Amino acid sequence: MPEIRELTVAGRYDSIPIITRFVSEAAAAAHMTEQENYHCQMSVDEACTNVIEHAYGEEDSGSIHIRCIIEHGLCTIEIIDTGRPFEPESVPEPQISPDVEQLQPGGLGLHLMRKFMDEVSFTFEPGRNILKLVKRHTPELTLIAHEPMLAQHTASGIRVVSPQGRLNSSVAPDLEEVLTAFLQQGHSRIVVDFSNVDYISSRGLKTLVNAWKTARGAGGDLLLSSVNAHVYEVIEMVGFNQVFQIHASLAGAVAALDG
Amino acid sequence: MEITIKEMNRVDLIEVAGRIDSSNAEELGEALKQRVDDGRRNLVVDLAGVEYMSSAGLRELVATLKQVKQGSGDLRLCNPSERVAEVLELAGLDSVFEIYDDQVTAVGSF
Repeated sequence: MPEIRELTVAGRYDSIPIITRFVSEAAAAAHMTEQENYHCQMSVDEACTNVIEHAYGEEDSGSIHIRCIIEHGLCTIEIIDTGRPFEPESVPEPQISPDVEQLQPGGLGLHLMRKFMDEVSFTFEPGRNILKLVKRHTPELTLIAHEPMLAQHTASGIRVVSPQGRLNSSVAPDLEEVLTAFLQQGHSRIVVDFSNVDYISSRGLKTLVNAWKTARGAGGDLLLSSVNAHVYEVIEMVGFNQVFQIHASLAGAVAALDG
Repeated sequence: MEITIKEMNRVDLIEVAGRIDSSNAEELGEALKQRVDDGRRNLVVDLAGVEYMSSAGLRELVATLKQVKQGSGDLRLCNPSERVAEVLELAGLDSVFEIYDDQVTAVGSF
């Protein structure tokens, strides 16, 4: 169950250090790294500064409510104000050029938020504005081998293999070799990262199902992540979406195996 | 936030420490503006002690940079932490400011 923490502060600039401390503690509880934690703090700081400056137009004309939904490796932060709504598309990209005269660093806050967070979305309801920020923890991976395809592991021992291109009868044996090695060495928590796979044949599917059976038999599991729409269609067609847990991101798959 | 100013012959060294956000960025802006008002044009801002800086701090640095450039001076940075350097880069400001690894090189660059 996610843990929920909430904070309401006055819409004034000296609330910002209170807000960043609150967010920092929430991000730490979600197991973010120091860098990811910093990104969460900065994004919420920029968002709240914008609320005071633009939505309220001045200090002390409304409050800011912050809600953190904390899960393992996932932090969802909602920032709610009752000021003026705005068009996020109307905010110009900051004009940064080495020509100092041309420098217009306005809009930098929103720009940084989008760089730092995995999701930035605005909802405007009658009487309140909600900004939702999502940060996912990216698991640190250590290289095992590049050949025959990229194999990595997390600190907790999860194995990640990343096939490239077309997973057909000429590439499937390479995948099989890597998966067999994982399983023979007793590593049965496996993610197959599909982010660079654009095709899968029946031979590729067979390789996955065989490894999945062995992993499950050994008390582990084999998950898929970042499957593109075309490949997903094939997996769904043969009903294997009922077999494999499929995650939108590698981080999500690793978190599921870690949980 | 703590600001320490060392006035040298041709360069002012401004050492900043702590957290810079919209609650206190103005203090930094004021301190820098005071230098410019006193006719100082060559500024080095040492960020070694800055553990956190939001865009409010960046805006003050950019505002001062514009001012000193008009007087043929410059504002140069040194010692940004890994986190602050990342923010400067993502904001595109690493190509706007000259950024040095240490104080001596930054001061000597003038």
